[in-house]
Amino acid sequence: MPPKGGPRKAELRACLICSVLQSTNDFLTQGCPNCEEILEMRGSAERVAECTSVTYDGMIAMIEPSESWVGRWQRIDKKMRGIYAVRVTGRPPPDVIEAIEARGGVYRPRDAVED
Amino acid sequence: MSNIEASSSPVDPKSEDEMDERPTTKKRPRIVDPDEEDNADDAVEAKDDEKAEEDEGDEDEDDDDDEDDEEDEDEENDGERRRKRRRKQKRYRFLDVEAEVDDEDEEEDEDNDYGDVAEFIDEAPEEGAAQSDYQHRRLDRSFGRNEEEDVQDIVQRLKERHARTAAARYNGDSDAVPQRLLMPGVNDPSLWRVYTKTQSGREAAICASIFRKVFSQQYSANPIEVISVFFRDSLSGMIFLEARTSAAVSAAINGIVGIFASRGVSLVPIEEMAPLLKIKKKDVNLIPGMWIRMKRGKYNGDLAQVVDTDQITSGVVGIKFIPRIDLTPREKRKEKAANGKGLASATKPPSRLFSYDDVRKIYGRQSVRTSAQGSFFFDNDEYIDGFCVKDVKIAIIESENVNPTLEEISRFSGDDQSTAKFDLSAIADANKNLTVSVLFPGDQVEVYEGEQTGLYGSVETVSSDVIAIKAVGGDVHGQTIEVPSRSVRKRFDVGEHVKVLAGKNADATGMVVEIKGDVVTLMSDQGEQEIKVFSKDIRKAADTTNTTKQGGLYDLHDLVMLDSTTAAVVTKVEGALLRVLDQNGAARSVTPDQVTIRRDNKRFAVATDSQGNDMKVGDNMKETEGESRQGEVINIFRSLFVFLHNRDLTDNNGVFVARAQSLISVTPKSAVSDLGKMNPALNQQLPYGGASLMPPPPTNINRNRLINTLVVVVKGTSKGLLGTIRDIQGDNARVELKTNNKTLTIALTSLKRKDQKTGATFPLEAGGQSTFGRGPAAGGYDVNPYSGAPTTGGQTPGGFGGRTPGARFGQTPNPYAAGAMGGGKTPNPYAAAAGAGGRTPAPGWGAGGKTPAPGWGGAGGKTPGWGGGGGKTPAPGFADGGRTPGWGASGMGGKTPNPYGAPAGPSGGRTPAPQGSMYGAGANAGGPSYGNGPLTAPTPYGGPTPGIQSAPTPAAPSNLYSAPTPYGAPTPFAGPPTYAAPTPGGPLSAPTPGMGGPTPYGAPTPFGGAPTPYGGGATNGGVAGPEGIAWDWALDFRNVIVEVGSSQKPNTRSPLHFQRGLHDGKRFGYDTINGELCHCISLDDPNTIEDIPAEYLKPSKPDQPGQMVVCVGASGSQEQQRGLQRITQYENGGSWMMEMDPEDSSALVWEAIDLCRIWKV
Repeated sequence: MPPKGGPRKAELRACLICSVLQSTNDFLTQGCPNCEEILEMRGSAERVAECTSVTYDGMIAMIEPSESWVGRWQRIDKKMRGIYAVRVTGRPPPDVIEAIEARGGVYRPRDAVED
Repeated sequence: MSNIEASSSPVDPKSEDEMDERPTTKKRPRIVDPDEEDNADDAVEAKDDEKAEEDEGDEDEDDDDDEDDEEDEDEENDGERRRKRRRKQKRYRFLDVEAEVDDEDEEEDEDNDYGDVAEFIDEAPEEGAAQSDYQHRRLDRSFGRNEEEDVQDIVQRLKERHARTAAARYNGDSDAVPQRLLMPGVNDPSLWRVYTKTQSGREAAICASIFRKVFSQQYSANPIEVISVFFRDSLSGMIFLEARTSAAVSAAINGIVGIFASRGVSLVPIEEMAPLLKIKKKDVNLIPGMWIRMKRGKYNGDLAQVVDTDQITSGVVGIKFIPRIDLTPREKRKEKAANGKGLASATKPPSRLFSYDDVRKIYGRQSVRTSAQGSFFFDNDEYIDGFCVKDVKIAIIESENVNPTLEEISRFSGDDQSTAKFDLSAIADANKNLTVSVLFPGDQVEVYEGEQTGLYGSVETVSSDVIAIKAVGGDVHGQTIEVPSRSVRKRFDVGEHVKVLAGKNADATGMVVEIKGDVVTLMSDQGEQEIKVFSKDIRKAADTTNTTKQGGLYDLHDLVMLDSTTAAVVTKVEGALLRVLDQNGAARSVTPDQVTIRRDNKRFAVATDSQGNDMKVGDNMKETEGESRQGEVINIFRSLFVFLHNRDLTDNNGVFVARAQSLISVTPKSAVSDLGKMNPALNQQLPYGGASLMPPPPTNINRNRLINTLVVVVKGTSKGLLGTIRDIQGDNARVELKTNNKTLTIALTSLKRKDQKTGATFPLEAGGQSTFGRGPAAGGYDVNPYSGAPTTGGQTPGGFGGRTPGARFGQTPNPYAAGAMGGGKTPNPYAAAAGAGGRTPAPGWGAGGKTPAPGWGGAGGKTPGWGGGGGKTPAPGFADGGRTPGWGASGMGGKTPNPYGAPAGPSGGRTPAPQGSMYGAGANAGGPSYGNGPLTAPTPYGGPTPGIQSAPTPAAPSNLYSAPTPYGAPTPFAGPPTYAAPTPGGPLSAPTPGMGGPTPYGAPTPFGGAPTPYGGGATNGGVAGPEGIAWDWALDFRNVIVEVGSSQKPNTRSPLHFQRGLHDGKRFGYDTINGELCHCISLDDPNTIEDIPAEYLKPSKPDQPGQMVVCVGASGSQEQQRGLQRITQYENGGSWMMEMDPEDSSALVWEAIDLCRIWKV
């Protein structure tokens, strides 16, 4: 089940790459459902701290990512269903960006306005 | 997405090819998948089930937690849900299997992942041009693929990695597409806005609830076709659902707690969809070095600087700031705590750099730890270089509108504040907060960073973060260029006239004299001082500002003290400078710390104008002399100096100062309100008329002394009861009874004083007298410190009148007493003064004789209070046993018109005005009355010739005795600086009572400019008359012209003036001697014939050449020439050259004062 919002919101962290919202513990035990491949946060609290952020704005409960314009706009249409932030403040460590670019991807900061 | 597919929603399009192998139609990536994948690796179904059970248990717990949201479901659908879960579980198995497949066939799967979409996109173009976005995306993606050098390698690596970690694969696919290509199209699902009931952060919970609800029903018979749910922090009170139909939205929100269902569901227009997600919370964008302010706690509002943003993702930022450590000594803090003032409630400790020594002193050595890097740890905070460096939550700092001032920044930039130079980089940082709000079209700006660095131009348009500049100069001259507003700063030229918009110098204007980066130095128009301001805080201004800042400690027209005796009025406030006009009419600029504010007395200050009317603040007055300026009274200082304001005047912003006595009311006062009438003591006396002010003394004042005396009631119902007088009300007393604590009103006559020790009773009044009658003088002072001895006498006639006032005065070490003694001994107060020359009061008297006399005279003339006081003085004398009743009646009351009521013209001039002499007489009478007492002799005035008294001495005596009287006057002389001294005699014994300019003596009084006829006499001492000739000279001469004046006789017992000055200054012809009296015929009116005592006669000096004169002088070399008669030839500097006489060997030169004109040869 998705994590709950409300009072527990403060405990949630947002992935700096895909903006998925999870508790610190989830990140620690399961990693990011979308980006674990490059972030490799599982088991490393330090890595969780630098690759996720508590400063985020808005929340999206994404039920059908592939069908969703919201998901497309947020570039999470290829991600897992789940809860995402609209905006996440912070930048991942350089190695993450490098890893993304090495895969031919583009790192798009989650806290910037495009265009 | 195709319409066909949309209509058959729950079916995932990409699962088409997998349909056969999967019993369910759903295949969706899920957050929970990793769990399941882990289990799937084990491939143990039983275990999987177990796990699922656990999950279910967890869910139940969660549901309990969230009853609000799902209560209804729990109740209605419990059984159904269980079934669903069962099914889900089975499905999980399938998902797990699929995960295994993923692992096994990575490449294929990946292909499938893409392929699904690819197929989907391939189909799309057929469906319409609206799908062109997808083409773009596909194109981009294929480009990306083609560019990949060795796809197989990467795939291989990915495979390996997946086999090892089973981590979620990163799919950065969609990141490559620019966002503008992602704008919503007509085929995209719509967004629906739903309002929530509470607007305080429940949105997240509601979103989650809907998510759960949709999630839980997705495999039911009626899945809710909601695609996503979101909300924005900045749009509180609403959530947005993405769905293709509003029915789905309604179904999703149905039963969700917190939804404002009655407000309905509204469709978000397609063009508003992207902005909803674009909305950016004002970016906090913290950069090391930037300035922030703290929002909470004792540092609330303090400036701080960001030092590191390493932990920004944790919502924590490292800042440094100047600490506020409570350095109150421990004992004091304990004290405070004991007083109930908790430390929390205490005021903020001052902000100052951390000092190890100071803190160690207060908190002890062990409280501060030193680190290797030379920083200190105290109270869990680290201090480096005096600053506190701390990680704080972003929530408690404010990064917008920080606007650090130069002062604050300079405190950061150096330990030594006095020499702290402005750190330009720090200031530049501060200016990064230059917001567009300070930029206006037309402003000249300079681009100082970015591509266009160095570009000058004027602002054309201003939008939120970007401004358009019309460039000036360079290649782009004349073009309009857009630049970020943060990278420009205002540009000024030296010599430009600018106005300060913000900061402590706001509203000041000035000329730019120096520009250094962002700091502009102005020469202020107002204070003519240099002001340093940020360029962002100023703008070009055409006008000089005349506005004055309000709200400071000193406001316009405030009365301030420049020193203890000099008052001034603020005429202008120029930032930190005050422009003041002092009481002497001098304008100057002072800083606020050079002056002290004077207690606001606007409501009470009263002064007397030239007509004896009172004036108050707010009255419109006009000058009677000088420029005849007119204005509204804004302040009165010591009842003498009146500050007026007239906005028509340009000097000193319309403020000018004038003497109260030279002002006249613009609007004639209907009822002349005499200050004297405001004096209750005087009011009592007025019915008796003018000079004979001898009322029964008001006793109520002294009766107040009865308060708190122990009394016994001797009459009435409370007879015999003991009590204490608590208040006096007329003839009644409020007595607090000892027995029952009641307070009764009992007539004073029914009370008797009770001695606490002996228990004996005394009459109240007598006893009262005994308590204070001992030293009536002192008592008098208590009541009215300014009233002086005479008042005391007036108030308590019976008590001591029968005794010896002289002695009484003798007991009191007070100059008046001395004066009175002198008066007692020598009826001629003037002589008394002279006689006392060698003794202590002498300087006072002497000086009084010289300069202050006119002052008193003048003041006396205009101040009824003075006269009243003077009038009062005889009272004791009269009450003194009625020994001299005739005196008062005839001398004072009878003959003279009430001089006090008559407004004395300021034109007393050279000759003592009648009024002046009346006062003199009054005072004179007051004087001898003291003398009379002790001597118990019939007074010289009493019997014989009251008329005689009135003749001479205009000023000097009045000086003696009228001196006390001003104190008695309500206000005019109550100015504390002079008279507040404990002994009222102080000022008199001072060398010159008119000390300092501000005192009344300095005022241009009628007598001020005129030579005082007795000035010389006072210095000459008692032997010779003031004119330098013997007082009885007239007895030796006949047929000369004489002038009547004040008595020249030392120690005379006669009144100072003959007939109270009736003939003063007049010329008489003196023909024969008649006993001691000289028989005189007025030259003006031959019918006026008087017998005048020789002491009042002065020789009439020659006033033109050719006059017959006789030398009456007794001084110097002219001793032998006494009696010689000559004719004046010409005058030179006070000496007359005589026509040669045959007897003379040479022409005689005589002093004018030695000459007397001959009446009849």
